[in-house]
Amino acid sequence: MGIGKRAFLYLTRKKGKTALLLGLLFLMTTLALIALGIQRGASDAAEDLRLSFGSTFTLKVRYDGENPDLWKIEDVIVDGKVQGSTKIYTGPVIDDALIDKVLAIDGVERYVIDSITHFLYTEGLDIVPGAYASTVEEDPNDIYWAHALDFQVTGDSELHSAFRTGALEIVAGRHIQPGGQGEVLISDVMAQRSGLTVGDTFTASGREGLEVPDGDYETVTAGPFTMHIVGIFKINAALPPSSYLTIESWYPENYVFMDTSHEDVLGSGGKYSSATFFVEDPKELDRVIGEAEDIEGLDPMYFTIRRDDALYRSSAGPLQTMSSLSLILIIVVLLGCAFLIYLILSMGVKSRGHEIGVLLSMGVSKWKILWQQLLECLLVFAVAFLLSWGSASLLASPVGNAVLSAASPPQGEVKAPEYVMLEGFVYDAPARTPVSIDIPLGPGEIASVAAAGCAVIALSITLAGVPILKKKPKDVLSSMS
Amino acid sequence: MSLLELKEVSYAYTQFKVVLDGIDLTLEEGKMYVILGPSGCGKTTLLSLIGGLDIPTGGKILFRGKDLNEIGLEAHRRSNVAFIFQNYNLIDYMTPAENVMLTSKKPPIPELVKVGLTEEEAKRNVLKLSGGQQQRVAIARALACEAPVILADEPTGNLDEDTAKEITILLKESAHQLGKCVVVVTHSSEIAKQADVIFRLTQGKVHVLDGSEPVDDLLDKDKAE
Repeated sequence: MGIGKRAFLYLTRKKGKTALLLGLLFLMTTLALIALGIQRGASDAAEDLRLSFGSTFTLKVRYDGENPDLWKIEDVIVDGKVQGSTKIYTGPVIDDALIDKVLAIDGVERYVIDSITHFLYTEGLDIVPGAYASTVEEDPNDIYWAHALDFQVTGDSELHSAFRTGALEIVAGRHIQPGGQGEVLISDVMAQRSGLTVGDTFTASGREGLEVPDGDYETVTAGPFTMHIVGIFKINAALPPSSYLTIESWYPENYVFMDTSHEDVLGSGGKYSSATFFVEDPKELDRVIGEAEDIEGLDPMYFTIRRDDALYRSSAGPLQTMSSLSLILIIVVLLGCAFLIYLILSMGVKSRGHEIGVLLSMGVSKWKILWQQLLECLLVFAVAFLLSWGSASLLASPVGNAVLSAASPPQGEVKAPEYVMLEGFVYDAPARTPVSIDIPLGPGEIASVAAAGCAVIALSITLAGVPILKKKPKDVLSSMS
Repeated sequence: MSLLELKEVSYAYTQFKVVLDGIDLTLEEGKMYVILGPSGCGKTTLLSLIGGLDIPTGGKILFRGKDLNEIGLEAHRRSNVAFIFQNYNLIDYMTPAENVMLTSKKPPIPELVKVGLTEEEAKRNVLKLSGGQQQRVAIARALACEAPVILADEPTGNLDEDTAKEITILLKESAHQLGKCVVVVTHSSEIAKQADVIFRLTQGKVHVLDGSEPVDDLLDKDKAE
């Protein structure tokens, strides 16, 4: 009788032992497949996240207040009278020439300026009231302040940090795009208060009284400009709570974004305090930053370069936690189940000493006896593996996404280690961890588990069987009689 | 040429415990040999050496003139000898037919019928058979493999008198009708009286009995020792 038939007879006649081994191998293989699938899914999702966020770095002027060489004091004169003084920065700033040098670095895709604001008086907007509105009775001119807002200038609002981080999100219309003419974005709160929607307009103008002390509030210094609402946004971030009444332009609900079409009038003069650059391949970010730091004229005394993948890192945090947990699970499963399987198989081999002795007395070689036992286990493993493939395919996604859910911040709560600056305020930007991910069971995972299972079985049988087979057949027979 | 020859065969468990001391023995086909001796004298050890289950510490064993070390013990056990044990040593998860198939490619049912089993009994699990039936299966397995030598260690030790007689007849027929060389280790007078040649193993030496002393007296002496 051949090895195959003997193995088949053993498996089919010793149903209890076969079922126990099948159950254990099924459990081990299912857990291993799920864990590997989760780890792979988490890694892939983290990589997709990284690519979807892209990578950016922000070049900023340092504005070192400790260095007097960078500042000059100027008198503020109104109607020929010195009304006060102001400190003006005279150090290096970001200009078009510097921007072009950074853009010339291989891998830098594009850039955005998101640091220019213009304080303009508005008409036709029902602004969320703040500190100025509460002081109108005391100072009637505060009505102009209560109607003035900081307009954030951007050539492409989709690239603005407030939108990139997800702190603000377009819910109607579209973003401001390059080449826009008088395009603005307002919040959904202000749109509702003002009875405005996409396609409507309001007016904004510069006023002397808002620009210089004791200036005339009726004197228009720029505009009036007709602002066309092209998009409405909602606010996903929350300002830190404050016990003081905030001025109107600091409320996120009162934020306004405008295009660059009025810069020739309102003018920053081509000088900027910060610029954000987008790197095509996130893996190139370090190299690109290194090259940027070497640019002539980009002195670290006056400029800072900050890599901007922190939001990716915070969003990817739960995914990385998931990946680490699944790796631990893989190790525990492999070691724990491997040990358990070794115990069971070695007990099985030892309990078959009688059978081994009989076969030896018939002249069956030791290696054939060992191979028979190995074949039995491998046959059971093959069945367990096929069953676990099916069960793991069904369970991997629900289990993996349950782990992701447990590792992610609760919906609706903001949680990120990185903040976004807007209007001088910092606020938490929502992490964008995916709600669910795909958990693949590809050829890699399947082959790994199959190989590991076979290795565990082979090692267990060999370790358990060799001591018995090393004995003389007479001693084996004696020990069983 | 003899079928089996033992030349100056010795076996010692330790330096001080010599069980077999320079045994010379010749075994032929077509005969039933019985080995008697007190318990612990080395009868089973002698059988193990003849069957290739162990290696003598001295001397050599020849099968058809060839040293067992040359033949290889596994090959010798596979082709030249078949064992029958006191506790039958059947594979417990197999049927009698499957146990016979372990050693032979011949159809197993006729082999089992030859030793007195029915077809129905041949397909049951061996654990559901009586001791006598299991021993018949063991004999069928030994005969089916067509090994020229059958080595039986207390084959009737666990059987009742009637069954023991039947088994003894089977063993004798194996020798006389099938031409096997049957070597039986036993305390049974029934088997001993059926033997063609009786050996007595005592104090490491084998003596061929000439029939002058009754077998029953010798067995009593063995029990006493």
